[in-house]
Amino acid sequence: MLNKIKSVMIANRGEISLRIIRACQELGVESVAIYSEADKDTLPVKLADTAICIGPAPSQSSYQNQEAIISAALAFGVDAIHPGYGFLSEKADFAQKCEENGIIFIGPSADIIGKMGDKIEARKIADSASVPTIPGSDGVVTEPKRALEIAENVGFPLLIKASAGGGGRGMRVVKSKDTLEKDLNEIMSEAEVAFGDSSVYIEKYLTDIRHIEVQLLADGKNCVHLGERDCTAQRRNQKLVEEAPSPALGAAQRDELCQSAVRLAQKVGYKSAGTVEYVFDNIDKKFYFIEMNTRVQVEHPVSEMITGVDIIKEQIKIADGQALEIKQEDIVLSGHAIECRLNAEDPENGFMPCPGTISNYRPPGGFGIRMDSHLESGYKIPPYYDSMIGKLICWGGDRDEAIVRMTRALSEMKVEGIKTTAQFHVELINSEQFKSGDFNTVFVASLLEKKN
Amino acid sequence: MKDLDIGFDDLKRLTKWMRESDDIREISLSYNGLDFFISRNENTQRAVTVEAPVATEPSASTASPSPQKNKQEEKKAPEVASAPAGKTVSSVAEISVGDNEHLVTAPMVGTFYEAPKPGAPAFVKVGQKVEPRTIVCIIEVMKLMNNLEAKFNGRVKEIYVEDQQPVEFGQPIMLIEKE
Repeated sequence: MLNKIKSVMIANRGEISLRIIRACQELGVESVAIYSEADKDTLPVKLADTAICIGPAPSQSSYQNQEAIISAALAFGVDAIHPGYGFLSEKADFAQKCEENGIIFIGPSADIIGKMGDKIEARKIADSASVPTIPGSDGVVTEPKRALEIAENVGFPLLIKASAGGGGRGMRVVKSKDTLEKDLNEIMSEAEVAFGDSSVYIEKYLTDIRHIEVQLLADGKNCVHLGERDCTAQRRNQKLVEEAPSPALGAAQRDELCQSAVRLAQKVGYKSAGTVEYVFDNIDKKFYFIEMNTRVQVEHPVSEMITGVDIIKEQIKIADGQALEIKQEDIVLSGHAIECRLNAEDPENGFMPCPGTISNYRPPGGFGIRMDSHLESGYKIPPYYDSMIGKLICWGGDRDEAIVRMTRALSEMKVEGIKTTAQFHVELINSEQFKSGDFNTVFVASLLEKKN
Repeated sequence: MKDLDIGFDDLKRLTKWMRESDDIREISLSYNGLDFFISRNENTQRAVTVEAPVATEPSASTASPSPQKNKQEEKKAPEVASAPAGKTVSSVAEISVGDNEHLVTAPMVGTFYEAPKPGAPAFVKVGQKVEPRTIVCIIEVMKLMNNLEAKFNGRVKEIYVEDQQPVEFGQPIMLIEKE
């Protein structure tokens, strides 16, 4: 099935490592897992054709250690590296090192990772591809006069961000024109004092938004989309529940959104699986580009469930140099899929991570259920990595059936010995607001507030 | 090394402690002729555990042995899941290291070389006498040749890997019988 790639090293751990190993097995490609000392007894290590210990538990010394991973790939002679998500998946320098060492990086080129990883550059590309971006300044503004002009065009409320700021510092929301001049002067002089740079960005401040993203597959020439995913149910910017299709979009707007994502990918000659992320303004019902993720995403299975396309296998085939066989007209969205991320966290205690040993694990099953997880009874969750222990994905003929099925599956599943977010998900997806489909990114926070 | 209070087990404990603590990035320890340096920081010189690359030319015939197959799931309990097949032993647990012995393990995943260049005599052979600074092998990591030293006065008791074989992190390479 593959021409160049006979073996794939998976530079990741946990459920995504397992997901990629499974794809390799089905493609008839040798899978080579890497692992840290903390992960030696895990399922990916057991199920891969070969497993190589590359370092001690801390990820800087293992899963993020580029030198160790390239060295392992060279010493053990693998053809390609799949980075999964997180860790090295969006590090342009790692993709570059793979290229330099004659190893196929399963993802786009270092050049494209770099371009799309730069927010300002990505916004410019989006503008040039006629992909809507959040109204505001195209880049930094240094002249107070010019800033005032832009602000008046953007409208209110708007957000002023010091270009040297970050992490919430040097940001201000301006509610009306009355305070604009004062706010602008203050933030510019504050930024001058704090960062030695008074330049600012100005953009429309969106208060009632959804998070919607489009899954793409592209071979460098052709690009198809697999519809959108809705990831609005978040807690502190961490996605909890994802679904496809989005309950907020009608057919015409879905088409418009997906076409814009395809245009963006075509603009840069994108080659691999990728996701274009947008915010959707519930108030004026418009979507705006925010960024592109040049890797496979945690929530990719919901798109797989409604399209029947195996995104990881397609991604590997593209990296092998094959042209996309799928045409846009072949892709038919069928039914509705929901994914709940299961975390080893205690929802009753501020979502505190709780590593520990799984004394008993019973996965859910039945029609339309998919459990992507590296859990086993006796598995010890190490304290060094992400708290996600699995993803439960349910497909239904429509959204209501998917919710009922997810509720049934969550109740059937048992993960004993640690605290998980399973019960919290039952409450979340059965809340009136989630069921209605009409909610925004602060919905989970308000649900939690109501509970307490 | 007789009057030295710090043994291999102490260093192992120290390493474990550092690994578990979040706020320590580097430790450097010099004591009675022993130099110990450990760091989480990238691009830091690993002073003693791995010497700076030697000037040796990388071998032209770069070995790329095929990865070893994983054993099936019916592995015996104490084995490390990844134990490569064949004659290599990859788990420290399987090798009993006595008090008067020192196990040389791979500090990084890479390729093991027994000699400074292809065709040259091996750095050490079983039975050979070694001193702390004696180079016992090279581990190639991304075309950088890292010398491993014996660390102790003694004799090479066993060598577990073959020339040009890929080795995992922590894989036992040879056993030194201390004198």
